[in-house]
Amino acid sequence: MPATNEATKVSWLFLTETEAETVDAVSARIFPSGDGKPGARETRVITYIDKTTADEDEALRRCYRDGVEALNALTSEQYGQRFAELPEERQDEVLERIEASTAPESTRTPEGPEDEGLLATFFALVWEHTIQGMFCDPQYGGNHEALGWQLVGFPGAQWGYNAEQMRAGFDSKTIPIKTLEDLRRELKRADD
Amino acid sequence: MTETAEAIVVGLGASGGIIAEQLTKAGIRVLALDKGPVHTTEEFTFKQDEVKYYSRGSLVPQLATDPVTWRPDDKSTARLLPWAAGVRGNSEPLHLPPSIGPGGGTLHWGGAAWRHRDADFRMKTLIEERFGPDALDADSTMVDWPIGYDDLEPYYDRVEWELGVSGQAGNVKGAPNPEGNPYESPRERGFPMPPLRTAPADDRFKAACQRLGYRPFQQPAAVASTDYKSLKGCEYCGFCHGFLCHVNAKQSSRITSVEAALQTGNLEIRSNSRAFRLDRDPSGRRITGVSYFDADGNVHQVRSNLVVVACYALENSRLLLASGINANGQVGRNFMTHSFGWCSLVLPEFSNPFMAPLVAASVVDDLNCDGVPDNDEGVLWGSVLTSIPGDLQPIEAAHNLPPGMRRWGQGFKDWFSENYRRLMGIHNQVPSFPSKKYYCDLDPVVKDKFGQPALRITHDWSAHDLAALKYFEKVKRSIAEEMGATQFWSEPTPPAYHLSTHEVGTHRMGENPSDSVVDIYGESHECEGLYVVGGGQFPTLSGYNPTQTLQALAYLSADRILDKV
Ligand SMILES: Cc1cc2nc3c(=O)[nH]c(=O)nc-3n(C[C@H](O)[C@H](O)[C@H](O)COP(=O)(O)OP(=O)(O)OC[C@H]3O[C@@H](n4cnc5c(N)ncnc54)[C@H](O)[C@@H]3O)c2cc1C
Ligand code: SF4
Repeated sequence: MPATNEATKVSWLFLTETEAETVDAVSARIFPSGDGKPGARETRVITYIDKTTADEDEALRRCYRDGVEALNALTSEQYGQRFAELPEERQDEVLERIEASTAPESTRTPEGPEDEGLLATFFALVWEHTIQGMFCDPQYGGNHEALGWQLVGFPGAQWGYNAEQMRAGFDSKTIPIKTLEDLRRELKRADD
Repeated sequence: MTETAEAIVVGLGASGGIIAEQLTKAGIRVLALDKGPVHTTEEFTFKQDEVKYYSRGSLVPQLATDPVTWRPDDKSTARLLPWAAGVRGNSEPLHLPPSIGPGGGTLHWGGAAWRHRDADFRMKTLIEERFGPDALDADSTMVDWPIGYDDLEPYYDRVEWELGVSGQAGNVKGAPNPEGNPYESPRERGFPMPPLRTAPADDRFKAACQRLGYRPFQQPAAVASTDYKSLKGCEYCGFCHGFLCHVNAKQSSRITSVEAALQTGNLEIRSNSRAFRLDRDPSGRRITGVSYFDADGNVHQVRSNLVVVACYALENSRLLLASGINANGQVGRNFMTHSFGWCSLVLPEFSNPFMAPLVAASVVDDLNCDGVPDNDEGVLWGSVLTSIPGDLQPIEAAHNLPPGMRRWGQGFKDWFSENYRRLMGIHNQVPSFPSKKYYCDLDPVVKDKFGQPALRITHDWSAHDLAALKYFEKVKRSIAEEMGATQFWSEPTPPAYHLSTHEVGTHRMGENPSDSVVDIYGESHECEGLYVVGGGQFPTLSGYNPTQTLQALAYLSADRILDKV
């Protein structure tokens, strides 16, 4: 599935179109959307990643830049297509192989093929950022409309919880979700 | 002309804050140097932000600016802490040195507030009495403490009443109370605040433990259950361990001792000021001041004949070594830390683990110290066993998944959205034993951006650590089963990390200047007027969290300093 959600139509702060398409496709395999519940695409993980790479240091940016290139080089060589163009089952196979055949940067042996270490680090990084993009405060660009929090039943940026809410078995989905922005508005109202 | 100060305190964390307060209240003008920034309460009003504080670890020192290296043994080459060094700098804020800036580790700690038991001060004697003189490794450097529980009791009392701890006493002057810890050593009085409300799954944990014959009670907590002195009652927000408190319910030296010291008008805080050398007179036997870098890297020197170094056990030993204060070769020796054997459970009903502070929970102390039953694994010394029903946000939770489960894809999504609200943790704190093999020194290669050598840690998990982790995993598994958990798993053994935020022992206190670094008041044997305080003084690590004991020691040091001046 090409990356055609709303978020990807905006212009990117750091990522190129191809990079955004590729990273979006990877994160959509981490938190897929096919079940009708929000996944990485609905929560706009890619927007989170774009903002993060723009803000962070050069090492991180290089890892994205080189990682996307290596991933697409690998799938082009093996299947004649960019990663994002592959069917989902194929994408999963590729990611499984990356995960199984290599270890992330810090544990890899110096003799290991350079690209494999790079791809494992890249996938570990996209995984990390996909989790963050799913569950960050929406001010960071991901967790759009708090959909990630809704999915897991996390009420977000609460000032606190009362004894009734702290009973075992309490259904947290009955607590209205708050973002930091909501909290700010609330406190401002209280001040006025 | 070189600047002169009546007293210098380097590091305003848990112990430095206390000493600064006591000295300034006695009229001494104190200059405090702290390498971190000054934080304000206002800054934390909107701290409900997991990306900022957990993922990006914005409070802790970054490995890029504050490198620390590790190797498992002295034949390996040390590298930047591999469990924490990720592609974007730090990837694990909870296994690094504590947060920086006035407040230190108490800015973002969990607040488990323990007194040691009487037995903790006599670990070596008790182990040898029970298991024989050869029970400890040939490499063991274990010694008993030069002080006992009775010496520290009045100081524990001061921590609880001056700074604020909530809990239920189990033994006031020998009178037992079954609601409190049945094993605690006698205390003069109870806690100034009642226990906190517990997190949702705690009742289930407590009931299961009782059915199994344990005697659970509520964790004493450096978190206010009601308004108390400068603390406000906890709101149970659940962004607690690893975060700052937005209402000042968590006891932090930033708002307790440091604030009190500022109010005397006798404390000047110089933040973003990084001490790099302790200066001495030509004989080397007397402290003369401290040299530090300001934020721009300019070098400054301040003279004083009273210097208190309170930069945490790791940086304390690094500063001593970098200053060449190590005549007997004991600085950095006897490194100790905890392994947690972190276990996770999925419960049949909602546990809502995102509520409440980490410490709003029950603990089991039946298996701690010399109370650990005879066992096949060969465990010589026990540990407290703690339930962690709260304080868990989604990003952190996603980093602790059952082994063998694919961490991505539809299966992962289903599992996580179904089970996040049913998670709970149980852990314990296996104390590592001091050994010739485990120590800190200066890294011969790695330097920070000011050209100062990084601290190098040489440590591995010992056979005893692994045996204790195995033993306690069985206990935790049986509790989880009794609780009706539908899933149970443990963190990998041996643990990937070698820092637990409970590092101690690196500038051991003792009466004999040939085999210890400081005396029981924290004063250097080698260099008069230099006090080096904190967990680094501990001769052994107990199965409890260390901070209340190092806070008690800080009051003891302050009394001594005031007696002498
Ligand atoms: C996430 C976390 C949770 C924890 N939970 C608990 C708990 O529940 N219970 C418990 O008992 N303990 C807990 N701890 C441990 C606790 O924080 C420490 O034991 C305690 O803070 C140590 O006190 P200290 O005075 O030795 O050093 P710190 O409190 O760490 O203070 C050191 C100070 O020195 C400053 N400094 C360091 N180097 C320099 C330098 N070169 N120049 C100038 N200043 C410097 C730092 O900025 C800091 O302010 C936790 C720690 C962490 C990180
Ligand atoms: S749980 Fe309580 S002590 Fe912890 S940060 Fe929230 S309000 Fe503060």
